[in-house]
Amino acid sequence: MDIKQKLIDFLYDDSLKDEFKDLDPDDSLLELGIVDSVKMLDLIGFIEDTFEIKVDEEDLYPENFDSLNAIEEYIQSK
Amino acid sequence: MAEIKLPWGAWYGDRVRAFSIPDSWQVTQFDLLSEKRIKDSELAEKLNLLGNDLQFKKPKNIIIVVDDLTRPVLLDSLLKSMLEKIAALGYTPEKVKILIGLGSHKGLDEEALLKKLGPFAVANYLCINHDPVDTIDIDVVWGKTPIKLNRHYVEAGYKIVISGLTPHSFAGFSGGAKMLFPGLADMDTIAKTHKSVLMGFMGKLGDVEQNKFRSIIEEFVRNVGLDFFIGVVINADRSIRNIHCGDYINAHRNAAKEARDYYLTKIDEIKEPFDAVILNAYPKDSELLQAENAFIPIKSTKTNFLKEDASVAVTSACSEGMGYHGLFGPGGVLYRNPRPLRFLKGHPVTFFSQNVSEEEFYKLYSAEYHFINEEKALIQKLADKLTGNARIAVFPYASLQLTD
Repeated sequence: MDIKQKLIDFLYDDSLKDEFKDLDPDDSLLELGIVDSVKMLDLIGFIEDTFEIKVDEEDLYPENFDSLNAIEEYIQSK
Repeated sequence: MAEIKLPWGAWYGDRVRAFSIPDSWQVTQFDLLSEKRIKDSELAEKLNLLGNDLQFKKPKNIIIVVDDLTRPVLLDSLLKSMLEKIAALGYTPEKVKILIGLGSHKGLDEEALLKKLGPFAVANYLCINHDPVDTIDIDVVWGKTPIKLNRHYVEAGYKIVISGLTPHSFAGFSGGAKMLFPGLADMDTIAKTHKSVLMGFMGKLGDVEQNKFRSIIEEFVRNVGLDFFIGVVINADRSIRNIHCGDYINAHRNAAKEARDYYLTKIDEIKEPFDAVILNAYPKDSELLQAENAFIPIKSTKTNFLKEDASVAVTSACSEGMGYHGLFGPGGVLYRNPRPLRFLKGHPVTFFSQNVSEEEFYKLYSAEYHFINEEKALIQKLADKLTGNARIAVFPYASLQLTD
């Protein structure tokens, strides 16, 4: 399974099915309401566990985590 | 009938509004007293520091940055004293600009400028609303975002910032470096600031020392300079309690400490949780978009002072109606369809205001919440869920009141 699909599986929530239906990999996850501060904490933990990388505090910028493409690029850079 | 009395309508009359309640309710009102006020002699002494610094640096011109009407600080008398001090040193009005640090809030028209700055400043000095487009590069990159800052500010010979310190959800307290970032920044920087917060990458309410957001923006300020900061601690009635002047970090820290001590509302001695709470948004009750500040007593508490099914009522004058925020308001890039607020943990919420429509309310708040614009209906709504001797907590200045 590729990185984006794993992220989608983790983030998917039935209450957000409309948002996921036409989700573009560059869409802002924040603006669509798919992530918020609470979900973000879980997402960081998921990324660290699943992809066996350490997310440094200095990397915690919206640019790194606000879209599927951005997260994939970040993971691949580690 | 018994009554609870709430302060009402900051900037729009500042009066007391009484709500009739059933005699059987046991009300605990957590007041903030406004007894201490800065004396004229203390103010003059502190402004002497500014005079000394100006005489030492001898700048060609001066800019004074102030906050807007969404912040409750009354600047009229402070600003007049300061401008007279500056004028006495030879800085005629054409050498001084006043810049409103708006972030992406609505610009102040003449009426609003008069409220905020007073007639002396408005009549004699050039007052400019910050425009996120009128910004220039400051050679600072935040992550991948180049930061731009207000042109008037960057080009000024001497930079003064005046701001109040009220509890703030991610900057700990408002004011200080936050007056520049996001207050005077370009739209990309403002958006990035707010996005970082929404994604949980920033600080928390009431904390300035360990606040990641504040440490980042204080570093940015180092690059552009800030000559003299005035941190204003206001009383609950909006009078000036004290000011802390000088270095933008030290003065802000000192002001934050005094503000935190003053706004801290002791609830740890409450023996039994309450059946309901009334959170009055004053003095941040000018618009619906700022009304979420009324939840500060709940957001900041370490003590569970509400029963699991307790009702939460928010009251706000919302004198300007819904208000405006370029990012979070309807049509803004960070606007999202409203959902129940997580920190309220499922408590039933009733919101009272007579200056916003039901349609406006539900653009910002979840459909699960009740909106009421009739006073009797508000009390009835609360009474429906309460038994005879219900215990009610009232925070009349909820937008300021940190709890322990």
